[in-house]
Amino acid sequence: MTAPTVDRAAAPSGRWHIPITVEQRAASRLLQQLGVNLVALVLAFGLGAILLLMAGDNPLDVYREMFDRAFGSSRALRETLRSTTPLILTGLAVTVCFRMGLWSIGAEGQLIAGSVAGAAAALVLGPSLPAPLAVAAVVVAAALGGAAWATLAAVPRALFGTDEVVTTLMLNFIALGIMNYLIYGSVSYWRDRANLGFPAGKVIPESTQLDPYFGVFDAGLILSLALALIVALALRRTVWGYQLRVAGDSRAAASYAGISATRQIISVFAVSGALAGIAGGTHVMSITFALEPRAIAVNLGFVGIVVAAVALLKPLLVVPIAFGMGALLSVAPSLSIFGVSPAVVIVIQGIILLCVAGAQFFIRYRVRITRVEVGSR
Amino acid sequence: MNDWVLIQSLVVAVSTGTPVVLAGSGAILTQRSGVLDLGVEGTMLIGAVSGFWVTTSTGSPFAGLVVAVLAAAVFSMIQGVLAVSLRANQVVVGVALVILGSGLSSFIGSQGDPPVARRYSGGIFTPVFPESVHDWPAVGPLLLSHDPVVYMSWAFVAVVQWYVFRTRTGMHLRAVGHDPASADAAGLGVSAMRYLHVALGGAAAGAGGGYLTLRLFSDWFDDMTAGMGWIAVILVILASWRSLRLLVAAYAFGAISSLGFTLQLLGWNIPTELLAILPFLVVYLVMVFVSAAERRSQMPASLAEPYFRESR
Repeated sequence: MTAPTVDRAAAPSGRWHIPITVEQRAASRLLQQLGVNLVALVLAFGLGAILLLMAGDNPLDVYREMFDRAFGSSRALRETLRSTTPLILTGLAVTVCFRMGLWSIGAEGQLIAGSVAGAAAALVLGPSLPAPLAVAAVVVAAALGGAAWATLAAVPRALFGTDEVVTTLMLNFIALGIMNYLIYGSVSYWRDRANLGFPAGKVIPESTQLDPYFGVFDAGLILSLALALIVALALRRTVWGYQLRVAGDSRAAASYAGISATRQIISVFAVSGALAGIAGGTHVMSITFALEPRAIAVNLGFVGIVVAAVALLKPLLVVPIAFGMGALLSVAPSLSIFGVSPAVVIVIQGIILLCVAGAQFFIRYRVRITRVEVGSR
Repeated sequence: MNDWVLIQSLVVAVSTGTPVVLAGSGAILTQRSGVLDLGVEGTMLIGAVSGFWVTTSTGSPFAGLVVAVLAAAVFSMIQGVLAVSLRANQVVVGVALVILGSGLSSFIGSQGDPPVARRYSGGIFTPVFPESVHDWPAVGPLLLSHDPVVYMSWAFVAVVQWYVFRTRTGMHLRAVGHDPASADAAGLGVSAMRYLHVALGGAAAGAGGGYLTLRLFSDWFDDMTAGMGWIAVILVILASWRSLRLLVAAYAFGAISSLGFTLQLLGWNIPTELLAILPFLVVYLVMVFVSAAERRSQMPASLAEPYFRESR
């Protein structure tokens, strides 16, 4: 750990002395980090409240209504948990990449690729396989689809150093375009050919539709929780996870230790893509029941970045944060019923991510009011 | 392809590329100072909706453009505070600004009576020169048929090129982006330079967004940028942080995006969903090829790295 350094930038010599000192913290504790992020969350909802006030709504009423619609009944809880599942998975996908310092923003496209592959598996294998096997086949296909899509960014990154921010972004738009083409632009295998009205995806067989247990949560949620646990263990207890963390802390140290960057980048991207792909697969099996572009491309990949950042890139923390974000997402459509723009939810998500990104400063540095000793200069 | 189709396609390519020319040239200034503002997509949306609102209220596209520029500059100050003063991760902040800009612009669009999103255009930019001039062979449609914003974008590109490479302040700008510690030691205000150029980049992105609502679509709808802001940021990289090259790249993007228009003129029929993929596919492939062939990057050496005087 580096010794604390003191920023005298804000403390020029002369009469006018700004009495603030910024010091780098030697180390920060998890609780402290969580506390700072909690303040960031409160701040985000506060700023959201100001926006609602400016629009002429009572923020307390809106927030109470949102809370009711997210947790107030078992049906509300079920919707919240349905939105939680894909966010846990995209949150994990982002976590794995960011932990290694790979700034992939491709979870969105990988989720779409997973949806396309998963829906295909459901339509092809669903009718002939018993339910558990059919569901497993969809999950595997979705994982492979997401991983394959991630490879399109991973291989250029590993071989040529192509910036992953750029490639993953472009691949998001390309994946979205392909999905739109499959449903709206062509009479593809995924499209419901019997439907002569507005183009829609073909409904997947019942054996691949997930029923909620106790009317509240389905197998997708259990799978995502299990994967959170597995990712947490893999990061902490396996050689793969250890090497990933070393590379995330210092690329130079990793290569000095003989860790192959090429293989590592590709494997991390593949795991991340598989997780995002599974999010697409479970989303199709639990919510959309068809390749339905407008219900699939709802920024679950981007919100995954918010989840991962608020969760401090800790896989187990991803779960509760995804639950909170899932609640926000699931209430968004119903806001318009009582005259509030659903965009408020997107605004709050944006502010949360900004506040959390800004809050890292207060985790890394200590800001103090300096006592000015009269006559010391 | 006959000449008429070619010329009409080029004219459409220019107007389609103009938002990217404006936003990209601004992003050059921001990135030259060492700040990677990935939030351009969100900033453009803020400019687009605020410009549209003002124009539907006043009837003047010029008033709309001014407000678009100012609103976007203010919005981009969020990036300034977080990236420069709070030394936040610029990739995360950029994504957050895109989310925030998308949500906030949609929210603003739902306000007013009638809501901004349901209003008809209050006025759009019209060509500067009289109709009779547009028919002159080649030069007429290509150079003389445009609206004032296109000419402003050309002037902006020239000014950015001149400013970055031919002025003392431009040299300071490059120094701050390249080696902030040395620039600081030489007495340059690193933070002030970065704030200023983040604001300039935001303002230009706002103009690009305003052009969408005040000319290109003459309407406002949610997420209407559809990736243009991201493309602008990426073309800056492909153009090696030079505005003249960016102009060419942006018009190439415009030509590829408006390919559907050209093919329609030629009587071909290709699904719009596939054509929509094309610009992104081309940028992806070009990025991969360029990085595979590249020997030495011309990137500002300290791009996306916060500067902290004490850790130098």
